[in-house]
Amino acid sequence: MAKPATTMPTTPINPKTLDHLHDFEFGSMRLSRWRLGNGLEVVLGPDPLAHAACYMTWYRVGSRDENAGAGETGLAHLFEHLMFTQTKSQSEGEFDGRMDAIGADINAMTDNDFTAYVNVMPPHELPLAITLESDRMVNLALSKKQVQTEREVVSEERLQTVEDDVDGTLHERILDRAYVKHPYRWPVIGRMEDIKAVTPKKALAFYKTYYAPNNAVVIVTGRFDPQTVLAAIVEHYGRIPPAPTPMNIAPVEVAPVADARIEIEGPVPADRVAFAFAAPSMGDADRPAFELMNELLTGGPSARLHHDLVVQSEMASSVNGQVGSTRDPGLYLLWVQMRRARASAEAERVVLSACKALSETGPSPEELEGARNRIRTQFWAGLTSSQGRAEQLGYFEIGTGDYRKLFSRNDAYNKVTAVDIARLARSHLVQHPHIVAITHPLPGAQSSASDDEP
Amino acid sequence: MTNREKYPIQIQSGLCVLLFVTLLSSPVVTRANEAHTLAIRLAGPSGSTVLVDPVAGTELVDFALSTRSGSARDPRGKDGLSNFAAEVARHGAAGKRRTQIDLALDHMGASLDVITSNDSVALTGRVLADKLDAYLGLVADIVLRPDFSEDEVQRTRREVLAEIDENRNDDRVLGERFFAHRLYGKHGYGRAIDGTKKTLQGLDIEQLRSHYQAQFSGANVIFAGAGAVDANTFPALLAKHFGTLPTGKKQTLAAGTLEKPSGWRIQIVDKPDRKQVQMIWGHHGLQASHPDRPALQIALDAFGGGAMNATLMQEIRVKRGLSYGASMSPSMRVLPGPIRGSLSTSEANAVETLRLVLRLYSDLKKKGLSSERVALFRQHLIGSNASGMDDQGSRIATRILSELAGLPIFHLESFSALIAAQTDADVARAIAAHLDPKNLAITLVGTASTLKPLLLGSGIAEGAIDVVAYDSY
Repeated sequence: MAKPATTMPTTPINPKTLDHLHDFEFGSMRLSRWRLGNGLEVVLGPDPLAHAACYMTWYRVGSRDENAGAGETGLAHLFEHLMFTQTKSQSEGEFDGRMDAIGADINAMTDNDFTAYVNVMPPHELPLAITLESDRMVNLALSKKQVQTEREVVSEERLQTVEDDVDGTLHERILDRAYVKHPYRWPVIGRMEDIKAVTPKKALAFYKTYYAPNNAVVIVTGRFDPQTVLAAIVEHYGRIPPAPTPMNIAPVEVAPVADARIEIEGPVPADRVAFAFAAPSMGDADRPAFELMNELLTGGPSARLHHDLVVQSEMASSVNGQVGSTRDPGLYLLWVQMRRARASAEAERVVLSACKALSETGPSPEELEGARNRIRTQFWAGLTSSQGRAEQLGYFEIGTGDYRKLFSRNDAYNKVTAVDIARLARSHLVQHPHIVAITHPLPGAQSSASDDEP
Repeated sequence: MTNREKYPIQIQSGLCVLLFVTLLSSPVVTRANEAHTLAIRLAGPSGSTVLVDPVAGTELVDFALSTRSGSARDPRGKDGLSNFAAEVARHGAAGKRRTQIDLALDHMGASLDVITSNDSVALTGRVLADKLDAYLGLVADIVLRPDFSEDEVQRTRREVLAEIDENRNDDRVLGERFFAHRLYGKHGYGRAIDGTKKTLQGLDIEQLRSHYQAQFSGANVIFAGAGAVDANTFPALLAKHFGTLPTGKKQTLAAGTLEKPSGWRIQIVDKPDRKQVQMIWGHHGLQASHPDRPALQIALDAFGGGAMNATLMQEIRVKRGLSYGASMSPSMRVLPGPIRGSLSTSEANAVETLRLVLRLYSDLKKKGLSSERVALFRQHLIGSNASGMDDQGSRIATRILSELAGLPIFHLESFSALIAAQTDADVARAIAAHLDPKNLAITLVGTASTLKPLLLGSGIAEGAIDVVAYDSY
């Protein structure tokens, strides 16, 4: 079968096939948004000084779209692996082979709300990514053997990241108790029995339902000429028909739905504790204040919880906070690693007391300014590479519906007040239910580490 | 989030796309094909070296102050000294206590971490450009005016020990700790970078102070800034804050005696309830500046690099589904660092996977690489530098590594040409000279009560297997 062309087109774009939705500027960045006639959205963020080009395709399908009742958890992620196998025009392994040959860094990721494919490459190789990505959007072909092998690979991935991983195990237990109805309750990687039950038929049905131009956004960053790349995208994707992709409107559920306590044992030197609180969605008006609140609690070595748990009392060796980046309300997770012979109950008292204190008096102006500065640092740190830019744009596009909110957040952080933070601490950390999950050391395993010659 | 991520390829090189100027000796200017940034190397305070990599359109500075030091220079029986001394200094200087330093950094929105490797101790962090002056003032306090108070020494000791414990939760990190010791033994590269309970308890304030002062002297310090910095203001700020840096004497690292593994010896790091086995295997390699390194990089990229067409990924993941990923790569060290591979697989597959890895590695040594494979992976390495070069933080880290390893000033810029120049014969010679599949250290993190019988049942001799507890070191 003839291979698709991998050169840039020379013919001008037919304006009927393309809508120019807007241009957007932030500092020296110039971005633009386009929509093809078949619904494919394209965001271009050229940077003439970059060393590479990054081509990302974000599909609006994730684990939330799986049918858990039918034993299909993990299908979105396993399918992501299968997208690298073969198409009607590319033989088995050809995608990887051609990308390897140009030194492209290729990868993919699946989350609750999206599946994204990333290719970072020398700028002049961009046409190949456009060719191969457009091809696998519509022409994927699967064999039984490929599905079988990837089931094994994903099973190994699950063993590594969940079953033999302290945090992975706790996280899965938390999800199970945090939600009753919402599809965020099952793990993105899926349950082992479901992973092993995926068939080519199930995978292809999933593909035909969700992989369509009208369910995707292409984001291109790095060094490239926007007009040339746009023309190539129109040429390669323009004929792909749209599909009647279902809208996944999940039941509204603010997790955790009830207080819960989970205690298990494992090969850990000391208690590992996770707290799960409610978190607003990516697009929620309270989201900027919530992120600042996390900074105040855990964002640096002087943050309240780090100071109380690690520095002052020395009961823990670390504390970290993660605000879930989800389209619907998600979870705020606090991870505390206790030191040997220090009980997690001590950390519980400190964490809950810090939440209460924040809800009563809010942060000082100095604390708030420091938190804003840390967020500003993180914002710029996310943009230091072409891939970082594409990912940041994608997270905001999927999570809020508009990548431009990445940039307007800076103003939003500046408007947050101490009163806002106290209100959120009260509503989300104090008044709403929360979960405490602990891995204790195995019985008899809390001896201090001996030394020295293994 | 979960993804298809493979073990990342170790990229320590760059595209020919920078204009790089050295002002250390006679000015040398080279212009590559397309100039995107202007990177500069110049003399800094008290004989130090300054690397500047300006990037337009950002407000962020990636900063590093690296020393020609590191855990390999920790005296015998004092494992962890370099790291411990830097951690204590980071937490008390110029009369400012830990909480005051932390508060000042947090208020700026900046980070400052101690990163210790075999070859270097570094203070690294990120800071907004409008805070850089104040930030460097704080770093200078830590470098030039550390307090080393008894209280902070005790506190930091407890903290480092707790972090060593915390790292035991991660089987991969745990395996690396044991593997380095198994492979290098009493050599400097065999020391635990963060020390052990016994060695840390044996260190006193005077040892910490004198070791620290010897490390942080002009002859041993490399300053680096990337992002919102330029060739005028950054060096000027360094001169302002580090003008009193002692000149010191350039430290060199004695090669030491390397005792290579004899045959295949397996060390099981026994951890209860494991469903998988983390495997790390390897032998001594060659130093970063060795002329055979580019050819060896091609060979190992083809065998265990990040590409899906690398031998390990094809045979272990793509064809058999035995592991999520598998890799093998050379390290970039001042002295001969390890050539090491790693993967994880379920316990039931462990013996089959280990045997397969050993056979594949032996085949590479025996049969070499075809001309087509050399061409493919030569091109792969050259192309993949685009992503390696695209991030300001990665770039500056690579420049520092090159500087520490004594590579030519333009290593980053000339790497692609260097790789392109490697012939089939060069690659074959490097494989013959530097790969040693018959003599390997092998570390397996798993549950010994079930894993060891599987190994014995496959014909491996009892005497070739050692078992150590996961919290024993």
